[in-house]
Amino acid sequence: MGSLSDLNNVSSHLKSRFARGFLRALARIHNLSPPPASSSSNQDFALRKCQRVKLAAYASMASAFGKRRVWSRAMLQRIRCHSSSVRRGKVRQHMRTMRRSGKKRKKIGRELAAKAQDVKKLRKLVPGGESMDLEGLLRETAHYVKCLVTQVQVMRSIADFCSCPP
Amino acid sequence: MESNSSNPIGMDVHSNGQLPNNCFFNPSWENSISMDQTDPFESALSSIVSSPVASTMGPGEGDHGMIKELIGRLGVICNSGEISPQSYFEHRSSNNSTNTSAYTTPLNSPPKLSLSMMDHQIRGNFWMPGTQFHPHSQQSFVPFSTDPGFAERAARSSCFGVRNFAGGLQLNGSQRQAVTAKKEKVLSRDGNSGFGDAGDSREGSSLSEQIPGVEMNNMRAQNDANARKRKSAQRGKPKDSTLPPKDSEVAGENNQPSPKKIKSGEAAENGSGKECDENADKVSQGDKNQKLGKDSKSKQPEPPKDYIHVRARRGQATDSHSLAERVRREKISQRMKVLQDLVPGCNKVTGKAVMLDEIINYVQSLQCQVEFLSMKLATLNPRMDFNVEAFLSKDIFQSRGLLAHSDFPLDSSSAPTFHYGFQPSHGMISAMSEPEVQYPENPLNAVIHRNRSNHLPPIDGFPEASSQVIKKSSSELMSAMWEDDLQSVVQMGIAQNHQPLSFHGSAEPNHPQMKVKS
Repeated sequence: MGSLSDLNNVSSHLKSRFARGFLRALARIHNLSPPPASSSSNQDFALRKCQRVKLAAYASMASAFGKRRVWSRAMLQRIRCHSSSVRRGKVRQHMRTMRRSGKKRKKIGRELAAKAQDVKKLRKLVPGGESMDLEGLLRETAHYVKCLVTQVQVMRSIADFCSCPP
Repeated sequence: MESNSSNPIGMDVHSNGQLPNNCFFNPSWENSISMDQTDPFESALSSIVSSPVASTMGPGEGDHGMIKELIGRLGVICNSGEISPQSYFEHRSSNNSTNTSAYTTPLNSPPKLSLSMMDHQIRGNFWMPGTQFHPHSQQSFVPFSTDPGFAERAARSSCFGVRNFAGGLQLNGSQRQAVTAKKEKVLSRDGNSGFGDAGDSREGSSLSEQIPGVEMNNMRAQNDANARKRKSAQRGKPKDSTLPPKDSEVAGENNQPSPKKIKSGEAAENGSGKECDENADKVSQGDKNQKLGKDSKSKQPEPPKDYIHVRARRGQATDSHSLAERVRREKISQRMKVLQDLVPGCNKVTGKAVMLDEIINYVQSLQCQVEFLSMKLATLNPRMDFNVEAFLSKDIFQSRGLLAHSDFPLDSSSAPTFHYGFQPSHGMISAMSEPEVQYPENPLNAVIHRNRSNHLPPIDGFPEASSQVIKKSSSELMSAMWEDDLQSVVQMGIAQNHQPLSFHGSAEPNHPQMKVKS
């Protein structure tokens, strides 16, 4: 399968590219000085920081692919459009989406209509999936899954690296 | 004359067991000769056989001349569908004696060498004449006036030689059936491994998209289509004498793409090739209607520029809509297979609905993990510089193994806390408890679990095991370094969690010391 071989080839250098970008972003984020002490603001800051990290992860992963993939383009666009003011909303929106899809999944039985619902869910999950036919959507999903796996691996390894210093 | 001329070729076919895969037109050539179906083709064949060396070419350029000649011939025939190059034929026939010998030359000579030369030559020349099919411009046909893509294809096929063109000549009408049949035969003989999925192409649908501006997939698709067409012709070969309707179907299908076009595989000249196809389509359509009893393909209404070649299965509807639908379904099933390989644990699952569910679960869990890890990283202040090179040089990409085995009591203390607090929704929780998401267990095991985590509200069944682990491995070692992180993590957990956390009061943001509630 051509796409599968593409996916396999992708992971090796994708990891390095993603790792570099992400590490740089992380360093940038960590270098931000914390705001003056106040519980709420610190809380907000921590939250924002987390979201920033997450966005940085997604952004670096998407930029590792540039314009080559629909989902990477959509993700980059989304990140750019939703600037810092909306960042929190984006996270919430993301979570809302997941929550909705979770509920839907429970409600819907194994009906034929479930398939259409699943497709809708998948469209929402995969960035840029709204405007694609099913075949393209599946292709993008495969690639997206591969990248997500890589991203998770890299981030986890970074976390481990940081958490257990030699 | 046809029989005589066909003999050397036939012998060559049999003797030259190493025929390259591409020369799938070879057998068709024989068949077409024996078919004796269309006068123009026969005459063209004879002309080709008789004059393998174009009059314009010297004897030294046996291959080249013949190829060019053939290109011209084929283009003419393709285009006009009549015996337009007959004028050629007449004055070619005079070269019978020399031609026969010259004809065999390319067959015996290593075709690839000549072909490569021809390839460049032809390609270089092809772009000049633009489009070509003007019946009146017979004179200009001599070398490359005809379809550039045509000659390109011819040049490309390794076993090239006359056979391909001869086969190509027979493309119109029912002769194409023989063409495909023959070429399959040769291919099978040669152990056609290159295009080799010699499955039941007849039964299966083949798909090739002809789109101008071809890309790699198109080339691949075309190659696949070539293979499939060849395979189908292989099937048809045993029955070529009878030419059952199935063959006609196959041939009918071959008519459309004008196997020459498919044969090229490479799409560099698709643009010019399209024109040939258009003309070929017009020609073939007429022929098809006349010669083939039933047109099962009904691909004629397809736009010439961009058409999809699908082989209709036996007993299935063959109107264009259902064909397109079938193509689409096959693509989707292919993609689903790919996804199935990606998503762990989906090998046993069958059916689109279930697969989709699994995929959605997996994607959601992956996104969850990303969020979780991002939070973790956000809180982990880098105590060391991010030495990217050193970082990468380490075997860091075996993170999963690391997590599972390591047991770092103190370090990633933040992990469990905000992991618990991280649960954004019930849906996510259920997703996290999916069997494939065993990952969250790992960091909890590997991480120190503070007593504080006991206060975390239990989240479904998932945290049960973790809480126990937490209790076991909880230790009060709090390095000052981690305190801030923990605090921030706690705050994050508070913010994220929908439920009020009992440790809310225990952690004060700016308190340098962690108050670990037991």
